[in-house]
Amino acid sequence: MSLRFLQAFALGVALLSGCASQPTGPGEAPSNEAVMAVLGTVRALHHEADVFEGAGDFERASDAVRRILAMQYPRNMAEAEDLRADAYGRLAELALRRAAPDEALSLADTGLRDTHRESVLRARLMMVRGQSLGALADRAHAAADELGARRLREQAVGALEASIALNQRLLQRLADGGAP
Amino acid sequence: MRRAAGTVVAAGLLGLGCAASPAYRASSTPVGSATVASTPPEPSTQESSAGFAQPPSMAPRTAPVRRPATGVDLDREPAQPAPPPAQPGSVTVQSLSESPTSSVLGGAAVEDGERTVREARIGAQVQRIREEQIRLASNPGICHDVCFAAGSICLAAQEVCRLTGDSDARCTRARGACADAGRQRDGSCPVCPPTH
Repeated sequence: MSLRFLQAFALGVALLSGCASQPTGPGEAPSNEAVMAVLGTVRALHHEADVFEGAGDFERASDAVRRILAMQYPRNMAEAEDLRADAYGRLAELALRRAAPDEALSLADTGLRDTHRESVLRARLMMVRGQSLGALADRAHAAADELGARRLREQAVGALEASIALNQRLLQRLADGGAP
Repeated sequence: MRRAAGTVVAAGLLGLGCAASPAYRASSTPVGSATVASTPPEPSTQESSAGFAQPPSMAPRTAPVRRPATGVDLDREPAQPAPPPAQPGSVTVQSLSESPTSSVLGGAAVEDGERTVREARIGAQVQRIREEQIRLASNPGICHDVCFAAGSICLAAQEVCRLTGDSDARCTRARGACADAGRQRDGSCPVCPPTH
């Protein structure tokens, strides 16, 4: 058996093991192929949501984004948290556009619990939380529940100010040449 | 290597949903106080609206690639060129602006010196901004985040003002944050990258 054949065999085994490494060991990063497959799927689903959203069909756009959240992500895929935060943010915004602020608030809160890294995606979840609370305040006001409306409005402004503060920190970091 | 490649690819794909967000779409508009008002804003520059005219489903997506930053600090004073070593009998620009004896040279000379210093400073600022723009132009990932963050701040400010009323101090503060973010974005990323 030639050395070249052995090298080729070893390379093939390494590549195949990379392709099949969805169930990775603890602490081991998933393969490029697995990450690419996930990212490609997420991208396609966002495109699908774009099409439905562009046509005003927020329900089906939401269905496409929900499939992103239902996906199985490779273990130890660092990008998974951001992909999910992005999906929760978009889903919450779609709920707001469907005039469903309760659902939007719930989605934003779930997204915030699910993501911990300071990012524009987390700031966006805070903002949607604020917008949802604002919409709920409007609803309380329309129902003549002034006390409830005031309380919700305060919470909304608090969430929006938290979002602004986080984005300001991120902008400063970017201006300093660092990652957000 | 595998990790790095995955990160690069992810950087290109992350924010696909947020790119469809009103926050990113809002980033093409000026984020000064006028944006917070409910009237439709005018683009601050022709360039700054590039890439945002199309609806989310039509706009081309690009894959931002994050590269190590060169470390240009927006807040730092520009580095002044070191003055040449003073020769006996020579008068440098620096000495004209600082030396109390310079007044004996006459007001015109002092003014010339101050103008030279000012022009040198402005030149350094312009150079620094150009360098920063080149750095950011070669890194659309950063500009995506800058544009998204700035747009988000202004959307949030708009909502704060809607909830509190225009005369409230929190609205004023939020509008200020929006204006600052807009200036920062326009300075760093005159052209927001396409989102799709």
